Amino acid sequence: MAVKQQVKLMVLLALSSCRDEAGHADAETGAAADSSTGTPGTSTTSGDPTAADSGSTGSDTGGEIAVVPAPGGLRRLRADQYIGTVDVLLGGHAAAAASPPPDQSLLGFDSIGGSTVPMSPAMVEQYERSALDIGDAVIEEPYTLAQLVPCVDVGPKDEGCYVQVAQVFGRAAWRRPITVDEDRALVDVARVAREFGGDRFELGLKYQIAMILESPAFLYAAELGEVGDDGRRRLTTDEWVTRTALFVLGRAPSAQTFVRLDAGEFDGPEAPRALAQEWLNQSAARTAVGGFFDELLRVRDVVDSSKDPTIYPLYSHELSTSMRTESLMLVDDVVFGDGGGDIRRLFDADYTFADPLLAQVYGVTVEGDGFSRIELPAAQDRLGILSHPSLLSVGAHYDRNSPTRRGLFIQRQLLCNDVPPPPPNVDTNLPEPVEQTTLRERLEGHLAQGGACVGCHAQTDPLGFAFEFYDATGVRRELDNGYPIDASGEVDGLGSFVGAAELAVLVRDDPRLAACMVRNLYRHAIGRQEDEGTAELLASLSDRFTAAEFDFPGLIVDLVDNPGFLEITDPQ
Amino acid sequence: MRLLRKPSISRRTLLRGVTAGTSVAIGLPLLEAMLDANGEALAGGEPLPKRFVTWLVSNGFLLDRFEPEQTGADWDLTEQLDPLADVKDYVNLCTGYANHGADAGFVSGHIEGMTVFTGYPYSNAGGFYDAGGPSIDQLVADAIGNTTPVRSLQVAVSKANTFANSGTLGSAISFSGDPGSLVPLPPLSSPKAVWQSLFGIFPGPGAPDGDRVVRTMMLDAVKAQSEDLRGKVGAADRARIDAHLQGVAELNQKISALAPACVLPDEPSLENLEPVGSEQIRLVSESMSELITYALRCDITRVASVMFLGLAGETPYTEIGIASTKHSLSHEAQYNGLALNNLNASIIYEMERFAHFVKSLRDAEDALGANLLDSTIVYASSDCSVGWLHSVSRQPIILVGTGGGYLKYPGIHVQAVPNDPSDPNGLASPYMPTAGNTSDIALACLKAFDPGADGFGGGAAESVDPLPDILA
Repeated sequence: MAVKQQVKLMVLLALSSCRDEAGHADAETGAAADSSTGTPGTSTTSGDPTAADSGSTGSDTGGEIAVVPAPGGLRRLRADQYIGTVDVLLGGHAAAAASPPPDQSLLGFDSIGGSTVPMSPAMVEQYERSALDIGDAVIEEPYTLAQLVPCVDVGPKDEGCYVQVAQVFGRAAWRRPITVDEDRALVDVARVAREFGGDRFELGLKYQIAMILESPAFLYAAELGEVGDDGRRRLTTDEWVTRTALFVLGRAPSAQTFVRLDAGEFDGPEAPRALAQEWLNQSAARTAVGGFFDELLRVRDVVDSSKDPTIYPLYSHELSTSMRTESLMLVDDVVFGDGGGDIRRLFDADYTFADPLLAQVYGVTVEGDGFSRIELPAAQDRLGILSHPSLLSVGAHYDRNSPTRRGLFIQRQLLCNDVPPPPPNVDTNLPEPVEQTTLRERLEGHLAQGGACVGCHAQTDPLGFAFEFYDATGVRRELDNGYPIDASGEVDGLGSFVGAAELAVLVRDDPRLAACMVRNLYRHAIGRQEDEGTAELLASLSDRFTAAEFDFPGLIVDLVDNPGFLEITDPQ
Repeated sequence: MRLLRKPSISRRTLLRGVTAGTSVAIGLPLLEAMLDANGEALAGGEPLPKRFVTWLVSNGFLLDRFEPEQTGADWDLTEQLDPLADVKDYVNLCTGYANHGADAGFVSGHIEGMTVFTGYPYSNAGGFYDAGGPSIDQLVADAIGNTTPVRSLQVAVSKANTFANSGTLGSAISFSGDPGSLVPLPPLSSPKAVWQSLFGIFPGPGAPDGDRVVRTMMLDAVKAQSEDLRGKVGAADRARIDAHLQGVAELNQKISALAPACVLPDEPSLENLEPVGSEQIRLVSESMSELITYALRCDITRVASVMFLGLAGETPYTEIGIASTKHSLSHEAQYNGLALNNLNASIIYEMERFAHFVKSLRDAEDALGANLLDSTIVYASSDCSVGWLHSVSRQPIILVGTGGGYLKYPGIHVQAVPNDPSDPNGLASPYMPTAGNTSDIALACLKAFDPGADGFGGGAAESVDPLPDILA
């Protein structure tokens, strides 16, 4: 650990302090939210001589990889995972009643918050309320549960039915066999509630369902593993199947999956790969992949912001919702469409999807009320998701553009170059602005004075200047403040470019893109931060991803089928 | 005797508008028959209830428009404090004190600024920031939170919180537990959800018989399962399970509580779902103020915290026609006169919202005919002193209310050290003149609720010397 901290310190020291054009980088990017060990694959080489010795050997990923897996422990289901699990186990009516507390994102990912942050009393209470509401919904529409436990609908509605719910539904919801004591407690609650409810079977069922959903066995995915003869701690079958489902499907496994599991269907060494591949064909996988990019690219943030209506009359909550949909549709098309899953198409797609609201942003017309595939207008110099209105809006303020924010996004989210936040104890005296100028000139004029800010802003602002032809809502503009726009730039490590489309190609071709995406997918998938023990694993995955033409579904399968995913070290 | 003073506005209808669509009568939580002969304690010997509320308004002030010139008992409100004019006698104002949370060096200003609520420097938890220790409201709740159905309440007004991804220090201002195993308590931003949490817990007319019994059985099962799980996990997760168990205990406390002797307010429909920039700050703030006032008055809880605006002040107050965030304005104010005016207007707008809250406490009578400011201490500060250099020097702390005659009335302005008149807002240097320790102020307040408290905070910001100047 000492080595790791040293590396961190050196990285931080090497990057000089800075701040953005109006002092926003600190806040909007989260102050040093990502102070991990720098660029994956380059700076994470293990300095710990014991790491390689104690590491396990990769199985199907080819070659010998030294892996010290992340620690096991408890991962609280993310809100989307909670709702998705309720949906698959109890049906859409129940899912509509689910109201889990919001997630806490850490290091860029809700999954990490879920494995780290303790629950507040208000959250415990919210889970109870959600569980009771779901219980009400289930007794209104018991049909999904009835597919699993028919007696809840057709009877006999007796205590034997409560026993069945506890054993069959309880097993699936808790993702492990239930104990005799637990079984008894679940039936007792149902019986007592039924008595209080004037001998109404459904009331007993409501509280029984609620009790199952309020349980820590439902709320947390417990990843504790079992130590084998070789000393390695492997996730149990219940655990790895659950971990895989939470990652690939964005929810816990269905009851049917546990029936297959209990029949021994997932016992062989080939099972993880096969299961991941099978699940990638389900619609839930498409939603889950969308969720990853929604979070990684901060697309979801667009619906949480608003814009000055006097400057941006087109902007509305409806439009921002359409912006988010557009980006997620492109993700879905790239990953699951005809393009073969090559994630680079996300950055160089010359088409997008627009509804009538977005068509106004693009200055085109579309037929019908829904989304249509459109070619990007040639004169607008757009390419791929980086010039989507969603990202351009998130990378801007309420009332103006933020080249720093837009540039920082590329550095941090796509290249994993963790530009530090601005420290406060620097001279922030900006020169009196000359009224007749562009935002770029104003920023550059300030930074031309030198000082502590230049180092960081040289990494961010020029990338943002590439998007100066788009306003804070993504609408193309030809002038800034009445003056011509210069969208050219050059950034160390990326190269020089003129405009958004050229920059998109540079990002697409940057070797850091694959490594960064692998790192982020790992964080999202298992809810842990990478470290020395997983560095070789991530590098190996990154190499395979690159060699496989950036096949994103293939990356998902590779990530599942390796010891860094299927094994753990002692629970944290 | 202050407790028995008549309120300045008597029998005023407490809750109007947002919360109560219809006029509601509120029963009194403490019957006068329950008081002892002197009216100074309950007949059973328990002390009269005291309440505590923290309030964060982020991104600081303009000290040359905030700090009064005079100190001591005879002081005048300034431009930015003027909204408190109606309750000035209840204000004890502390300026010029040193926040030692930044002694080890700045990260952002905003992170360090939160030390005024915890007394600890922040903790760097591996790439994100956590509080270094429990917040003062939670220490107060440790002392008095078990006497009410709800141990403590956390609410937010604006949802702007760009620090939320930077660690739990950005997503909450209340932290319970001990350093190393703190539990962040993120606020609820929906008045409807706050109502649910405060008042929805009590069984309504439609609730089935036995609801409490069955829910208690369920929680017992959760408890048993959690304890079983606790034995299988590592130290970090054990702490998380302990937090879960604490939540279960508090929920049990609520479920087992008798419905209060108040007529409960109507459930508000307001959910505060608008995106930042379009938020109904005024309406939400007033609704939250009223809900907290109600809860304190009905003795449903005695401890609350309000995150009026998340760290770094990232919302524009569009309701008063300001299009730039307070954060942007504070950086631009140094060279742009319009931005300076808008920053000043933003701060005053925030102070007006704060004043609305403390005035709603002032206007609420308890059983003795005294108003809630007589039994409450409201502890308000920001995440920095002045936003433009993120300075945490001279972070002011505004105390409103006497806490049962514990703080001075009429209040005073106590100043640790005069400011530098040539650079009152730290424009040339963020290190403005400071002295003392903001934690001394917090410790003085803490002792109103926990007389045995012999310290507050830890590390460079620790205090063992409660500030005497503000004590009655």
